[in-house]
Amino acid sequence: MIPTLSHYLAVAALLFALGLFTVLTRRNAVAVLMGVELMLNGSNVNLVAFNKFVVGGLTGQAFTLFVVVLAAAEAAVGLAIVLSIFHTFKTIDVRAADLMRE
Amino acid sequence: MEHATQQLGPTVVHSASYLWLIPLFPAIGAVINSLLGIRIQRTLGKKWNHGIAIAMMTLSFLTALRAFAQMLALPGNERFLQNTLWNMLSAGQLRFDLAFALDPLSMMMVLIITFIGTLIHVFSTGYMADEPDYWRFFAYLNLFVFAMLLLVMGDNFAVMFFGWEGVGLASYLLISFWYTDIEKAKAGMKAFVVNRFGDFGFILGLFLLFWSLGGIWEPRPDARSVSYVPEIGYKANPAASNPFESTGPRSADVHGQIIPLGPTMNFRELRDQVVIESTGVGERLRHQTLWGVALLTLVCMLMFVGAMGKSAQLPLYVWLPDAMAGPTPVSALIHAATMVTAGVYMVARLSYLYAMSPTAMGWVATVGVLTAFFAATIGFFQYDIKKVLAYSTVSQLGIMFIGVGVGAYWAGTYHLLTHAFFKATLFLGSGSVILGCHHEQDMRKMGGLKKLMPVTAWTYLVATWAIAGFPWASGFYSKDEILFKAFTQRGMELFGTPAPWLGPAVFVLGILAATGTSFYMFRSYYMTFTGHYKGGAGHAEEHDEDPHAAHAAPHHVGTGHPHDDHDPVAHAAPAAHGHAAPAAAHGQVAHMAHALDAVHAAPAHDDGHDDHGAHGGPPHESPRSITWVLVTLAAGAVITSVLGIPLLWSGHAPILEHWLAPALPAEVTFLHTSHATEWLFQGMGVAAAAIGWFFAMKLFKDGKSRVPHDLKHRFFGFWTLVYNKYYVDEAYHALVIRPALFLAAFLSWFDQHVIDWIVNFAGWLARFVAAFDDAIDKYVVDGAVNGLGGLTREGGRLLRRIETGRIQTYLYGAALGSLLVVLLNFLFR
Amino acid sequence: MRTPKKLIAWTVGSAAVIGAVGVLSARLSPALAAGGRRPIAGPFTLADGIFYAVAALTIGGAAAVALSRNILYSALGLLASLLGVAGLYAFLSADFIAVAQVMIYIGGVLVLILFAVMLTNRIGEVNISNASMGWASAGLLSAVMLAMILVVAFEVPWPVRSTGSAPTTAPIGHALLQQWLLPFELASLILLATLIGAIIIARKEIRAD
Repeated sequence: MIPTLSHYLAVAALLFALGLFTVLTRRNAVAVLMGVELMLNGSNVNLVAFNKFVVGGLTGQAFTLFVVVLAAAEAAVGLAIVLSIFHTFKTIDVRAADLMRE
Repeated sequence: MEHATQQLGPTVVHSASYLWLIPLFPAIGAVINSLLGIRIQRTLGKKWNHGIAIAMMTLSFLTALRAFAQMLALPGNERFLQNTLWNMLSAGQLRFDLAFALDPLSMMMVLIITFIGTLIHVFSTGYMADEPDYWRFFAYLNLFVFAMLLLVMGDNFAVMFFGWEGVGLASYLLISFWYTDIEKAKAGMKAFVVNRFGDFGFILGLFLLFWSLGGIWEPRPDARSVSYVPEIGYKANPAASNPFESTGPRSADVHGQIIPLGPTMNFRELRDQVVIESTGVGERLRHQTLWGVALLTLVCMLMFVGAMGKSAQLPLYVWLPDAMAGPTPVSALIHAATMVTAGVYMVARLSYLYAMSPTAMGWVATVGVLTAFFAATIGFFQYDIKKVLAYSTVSQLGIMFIGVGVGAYWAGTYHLLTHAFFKATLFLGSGSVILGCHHEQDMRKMGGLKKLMPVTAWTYLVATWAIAGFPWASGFYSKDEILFKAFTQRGMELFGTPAPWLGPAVFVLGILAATGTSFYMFRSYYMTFTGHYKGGAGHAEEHDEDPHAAHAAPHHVGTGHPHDDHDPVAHAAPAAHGHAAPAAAHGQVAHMAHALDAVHAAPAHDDGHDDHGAHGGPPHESPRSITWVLVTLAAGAVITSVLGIPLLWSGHAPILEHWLAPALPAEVTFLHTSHATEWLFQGMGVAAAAIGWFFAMKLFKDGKSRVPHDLKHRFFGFWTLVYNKYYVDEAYHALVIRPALFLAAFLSWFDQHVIDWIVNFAGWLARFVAAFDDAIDKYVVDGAVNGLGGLTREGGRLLRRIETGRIQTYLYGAALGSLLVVLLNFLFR
Repeated sequence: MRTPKKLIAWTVGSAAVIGAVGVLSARLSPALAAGGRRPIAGPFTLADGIFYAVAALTIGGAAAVALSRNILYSALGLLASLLGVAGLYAFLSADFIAVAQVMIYIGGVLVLILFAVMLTNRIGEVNISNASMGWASAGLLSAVMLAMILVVAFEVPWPVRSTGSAPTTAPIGHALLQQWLLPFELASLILLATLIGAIIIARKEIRAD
């Protein structure tokens, strides 16, 4: 039988949870960004799946496109910040960048 | 206004896939000459610069001829060639393509532009031969032709507007071609800025038209300001039971042909839905009002504001005389033959809209006739030969607007055609004279040139004959038809009030303008070509009489350029010129070169030989490239009369009227008159021309009569007024520029004194309050604040643990929060 | 984690998990949502096989990202996961999105991430840091989150209807320039700002060196 909506939702939920786990556990800023990408992908799969099975039309796909574009932008800026942090602190441990704390 | 008697069908479109080549060729020429021109000029010589430009123009003309041949082969009502390249934008209901179309009207314009354009390119090779920036000139000329072709060939308003702005740009570039001369640069800017006012009106009208065709058709209960009751016709299409249900593109079915309705940028779609009555669009447009004004009238009048700018009508005509600062071929091509007629073309193109609004017709005709009369009187006393022609152009454009205003669309367009020929001849003739007289533009320093420049003199005379309106030269047929139609038009309105007297009034003023035209044109002919040559001799005493102080104050101040017409210092005392010695040396070199080469010096603007005394020599006939063009154009000025021989003479409708009929679907009713009346009016036209001619001959032939001199002294006040163009420039200066500057100065003063004072006062007040506050603060608040501060610090110390600066912590918060929301949602459903 | 075999092990293991979940959801959800009106299970076709393979790739890659201690393997896992998502899009007949996913994510974002990995680590160093922290709490939270999403996904009776599959590229183009014109322009603006911002952020530090 052809995969149903539930299949996609399950995959998306797993993707999202794994992304969340990555973001929560990693100390490496690059890895944190990877986790964010995973979470975004999870929600994108949801969007497209709902678009296909429930809504119809193209709204979901258009939204997905915008999410992809914004994710790319986020990755570019995030990685620029990571590089900047690395140059400043000589490490990319997210715990290091807490000068604002005190 | 009577409606069309016979049912007009939708436009039948024939595709012609090569139309885009017509504007492409000049574009290629412009690109080549602008990118590589300077290199070509240095390595290969100027021959290649103009070779490329003229070759492109010729190719364009030949392609236009090909299109003409295809169009001739089609039956009369199917003459519509169309070529869509690609879609440029489609957003909502707005959609336009890069597309070209030719109907008989634009076909005529394209032929004029490419033919006269090519000739003027050829003329320019002689006129601009000594120009250092030769390549730039031809690049601009080609750019202009490209933009002009876009303007007339555009299939929709977007392409047309692109061309409309493009010709404005090219005009600006060419007027201030010699940009090192500040006055010429200023003239270019003036043209650009004045045109901007007009374009603003045009684009407002365009938006209004688009809007009136679209949005408000939807039944909108909240649209109270729009008094139109949606009663969408769809008469021909009962199948569309409820047109309001669909928001998609609508269409009507007329005799099996689908006509798209709704807002459009496309001329053909606009024409179809407006002209074909069963769509109900025309009727609706006519009855729609906006803030109490008929919407259609508003659209037409706003669009005509654009035409007023582009076609130099009152009160926006002021840029055109100043535009004479550009090279003479430019004046001939842009400021006489083509660009300035764009407004006339636009009104003719939208004739079906104008014909539906008597108020708009009256408005156009009134502005036209006032301009014609006003500019003709200014032409009486001008001494600069190009200024005479400039005011004559303004006046003739007014006559064209009378034509398209009173509903004689074909006649207005015909006058456009004839004017293109005879005015181009006149301008190029004046260019030849200016060249022959070593960049002298003052007619008082000419005279007797007929013997020295026979070809120029004869062609100038033919063109003068044509513009004055004598039979067998083209101007007669077009002008008479226009004025006769104006007299028989009784249906016009003036701002909503029926004004049957307006037509005859227009006729009377128009015939007076025609008399004046004849007078000043023959005056210019006699002053220039008869009598004896007066060049070289100083005319200091006459200069002293000129009320120079009033003569356009910003002009001619601090320029060292004698060819800038009335510069008393340079004329009266050339030796006082700073560069006298090197200029003399240079002048001799140039003179020797000139002896070797018939091609003569172009206007000198950036090197030393701007010194008349050293550059003397008698006037001489221009090179062959110039005379040949003059003869061709003068022949054209006579031959085009064949196109407009009236019904009265030949027994059938004029050729051009028949040709243009499918493109001008508007039906306007005129008074029916007898043949005798018509003969009478033609006689009056000839009489007007003859009267003007007679007086000009009596007063100015051979420069012997002292009468002009005496008359000038008797009516010196009036003469001064007219000589200074009714002080319109000064009025603009006083009414528009000065107030603007004053406002700026006032605001600056206001800023410096009032605002600063307020700010200072506020500062002082703040200081005072602060001092007061300080006391309270120190003794009352501090205690409380310190207490609170301590509290906050302790609280912050506690809360700081949450703000770890680590994203993970925040994410925990976010995730837990979202979980909480979902949980609550489940719990309290 | 010196050998990619560990990665493969992870991938296979998580593939088993997703397979289980997928089959489970396929069995359970119609029964839960529609009261057993639909057939519980059809024949297992090739398309199903491909779907499960793609899903396994996705989840396996994601698991590698989440669990691998070497950040290079994490990046490779991300590649696998993104490819899998592209495959899912293709399954959902969203052809344009699938291609965009490949081009933007794998062609752009992933390369960017790899660059960042390379630039922020000394390659010669064996211990490429990918240390982690707070496994227990993070795992708990993730699990709760997963459970919540799954519950919502299976509990809500989605009004499923079948929609046809047609090429979407041209319709998306039209939609972007008509219905979504403003967001589209805003997105371009954001991209421009991103471009400039990223350059400025990265450049300042280079100058400081």
